[in-house]
Amino acid sequence: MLYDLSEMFREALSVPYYYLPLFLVSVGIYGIVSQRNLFKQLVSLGLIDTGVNILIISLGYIQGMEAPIYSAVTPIAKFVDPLPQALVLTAIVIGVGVLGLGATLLIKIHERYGTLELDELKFSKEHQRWQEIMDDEGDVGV
Amino acid sequence: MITLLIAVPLALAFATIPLRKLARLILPVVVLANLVILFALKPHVGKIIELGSWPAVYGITLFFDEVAFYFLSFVNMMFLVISLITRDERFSIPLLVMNAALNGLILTADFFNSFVFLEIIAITSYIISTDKDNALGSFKYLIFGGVASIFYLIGAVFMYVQGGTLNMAYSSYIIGMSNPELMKTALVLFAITLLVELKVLPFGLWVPDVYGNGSALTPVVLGSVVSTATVYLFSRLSLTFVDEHLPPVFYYTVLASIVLSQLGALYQKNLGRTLAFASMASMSTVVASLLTRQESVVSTALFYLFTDALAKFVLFTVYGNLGVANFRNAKTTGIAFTFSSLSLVGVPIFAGFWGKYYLLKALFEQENYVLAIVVLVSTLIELAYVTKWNIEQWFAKKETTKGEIENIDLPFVQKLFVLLSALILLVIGLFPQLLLDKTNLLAEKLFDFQLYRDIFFGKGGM
Amino acid sequence: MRRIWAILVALSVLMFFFYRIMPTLPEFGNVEMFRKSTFDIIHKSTKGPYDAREFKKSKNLEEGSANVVTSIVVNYRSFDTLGEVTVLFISAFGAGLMLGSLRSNRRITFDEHNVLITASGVALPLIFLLGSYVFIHGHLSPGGGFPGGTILALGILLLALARNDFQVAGTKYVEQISGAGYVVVGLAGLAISGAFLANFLPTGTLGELFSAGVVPFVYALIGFKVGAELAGLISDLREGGA
Repeated sequence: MLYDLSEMFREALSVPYYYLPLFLVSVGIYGIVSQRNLFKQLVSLGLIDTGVNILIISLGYIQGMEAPIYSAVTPIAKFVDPLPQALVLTAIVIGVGVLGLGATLLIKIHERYGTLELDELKFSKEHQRWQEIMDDEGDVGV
Repeated sequence: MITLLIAVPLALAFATIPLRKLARLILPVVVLANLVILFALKPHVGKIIELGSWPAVYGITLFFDEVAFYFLSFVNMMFLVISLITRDERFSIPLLVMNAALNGLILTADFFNSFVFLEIIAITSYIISTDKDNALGSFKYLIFGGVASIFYLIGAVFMYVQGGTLNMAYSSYIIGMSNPELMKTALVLFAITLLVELKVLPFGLWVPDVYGNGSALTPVVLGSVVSTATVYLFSRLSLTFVDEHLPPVFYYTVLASIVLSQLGALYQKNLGRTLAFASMASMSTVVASLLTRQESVVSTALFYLFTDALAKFVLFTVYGNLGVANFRNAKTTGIAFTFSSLSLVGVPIFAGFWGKYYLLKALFEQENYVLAIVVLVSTLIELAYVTKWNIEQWFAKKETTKGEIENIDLPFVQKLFVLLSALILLVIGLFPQLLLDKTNLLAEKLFDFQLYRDIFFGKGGM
Repeated sequence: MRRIWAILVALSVLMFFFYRIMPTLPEFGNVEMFRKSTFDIIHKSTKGPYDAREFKKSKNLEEGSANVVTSIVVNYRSFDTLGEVTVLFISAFGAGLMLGSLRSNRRITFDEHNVLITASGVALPLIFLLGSYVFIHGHLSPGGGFPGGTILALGILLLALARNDFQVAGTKYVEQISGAGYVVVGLAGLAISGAFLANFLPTGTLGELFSAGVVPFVYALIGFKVGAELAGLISDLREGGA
């Protein structure tokens, strides 16, 4: 009875471990294409990163094995696959770098145009160009 | 020893963080040192370097052969020129890091390692593309690049899951023996990422905003250096490791991209955006030729790539420094611009002519008429806008607000290199065999997975 | 219209994964380790014949860290980690460049609070202690240079939150020394063992603090570098250029 339950639990778990990350990735892609706000696009990028990292980690999991560290509790190797974990460590750091740079770019954009909405940005860009032309002509007058 | 190409620029980039002035002075010296090391190591091509002395299957390996040698020397020479003409000390450290990463991308023989180098190149490109206050274009690039790089990561992990190792030669060999269909899936994943950097249209929508904003540095670095390195990686992945074509949908997308970006270039009213679209078109032509997977076509595609990178370097440098110039007061610059733009179209006696001529000849021999017609049509469109912009800059009477003709010209160093590049284009145009012999060799080596494997397997391991 | 496009793109990516990738993946939790190169990495026998390794007993292995993830990150695939450090370095540099060119001064300030000021004095040494413990024991327990460095930077963040007049100085020099130090360790490997980033120190007994050759040194360098970079990023964001 108990065995059946744990078996069922494992079955139920094994589905989301592969499908949930892919679902996260596609939600992120949907967000990037559909959203008109630049910050929301950046958040969607973070969502995709997270989804892929979970997918990679789950690809290294082995039923009944331990975390890959030789210790007093696990003196002999009975480990899950450590390579995906090492890769994810690298991927996380790269993701942090990209997100951090993106956030500072957004600060810069907000300072220049005063908005992060794409529709308003278009308007504001034209406005600015118009203003620059006006400024140039003003110089000539002087 | 070839590791020094990556280690030295990186170490100096780290060491010069508080000293930006020094970084600017150091940059050309480092690139020059790279070239010296490279040519000193030329007799040792066809070797692998196991980093940390771990066997190739377990650790990371660098692969140094003739193809890598020629690409590395081209990239580093272009980089030397860029480092000499850049006066902006803000970007010295990113350029140092980018040099290390480009060398790494060309040398590495490991899927995940190439992902890391691609990301370093991408991040430095985002930083360099903020030149001239262009944060919005840079952000657009970041979103495209960020999403695309995910596919490369999944591809690398996919190769590991199926093949058991991240080494390019071993895992492609293992998967290619057991199930070639899987290689095709992995190649699709890799191609999605690389097509963003290669500026093929639906993936390259960021290009006009980043290239066309009037910066002198951004399009030169991204267009001539980064694209070349990415073409190397793309041709390695799609020609050496995989024995199959990409799904035809990619081929037709690239064909459409050639025509659409030429039309885009024709309709732009701004020279910078015209050049941006033109460089998308030529990159798409190179990718389309690589996708045919025929040795003669690939060889001419590489010929086209090298001459095109040189021509684009001249055009973007002139535009970035002068804007829409008046060449009657800057005749030398004007001649270089005109030479390069004529080479771009493929007018005889310039290098570009041979690029297109050999390409069409190879295509007709292979009876691939679709691509040949697309190339011919795109040449016609190219001729139209190149003529328009040349006439505009030579003959239009442009008067400034003060009523006198503008009298600006390139600084001496830029003028020297621009003229030099234009002359190289002319020399290659007169003696095309000089370059063609090399690209034939490269194409032959690119298709030879047997040779690539033998270098690994001969060294033992597995 | 934009939403329809978005759904189409997302669905096509999902379909590609479901039809081309998912059927080829191994069943969840049932990976065959014997087909993977990592099998030998776990048993630390990539150069010699397979042998079982035991905690606190095996000596002078080819690679001596008890944490296998660390042994991959800092030894077998150390070159990736160098690249990873570079990614963090260059993006922190880019952020600093971008924020440095802001026109307006956007320094962020808070209301100072006595509780936070007093508590930060007590908590800061503990945070730094934890951070350095995490990266010094990176080869023995979960953790390492990246989490350790992040914890150090969190200490700096606490100070920045507590005091308005707090300013970070000198991170660039820490970055300089630790970053160049990592490459120098790699070059020392090239000079002594003949391969870039090779381990040239004795590896000791599996699971001891003084074991694993260069790994603890490299992880300490990475820890300081990551800490300095993130602290620099925090300070750049807080000062808003200036």
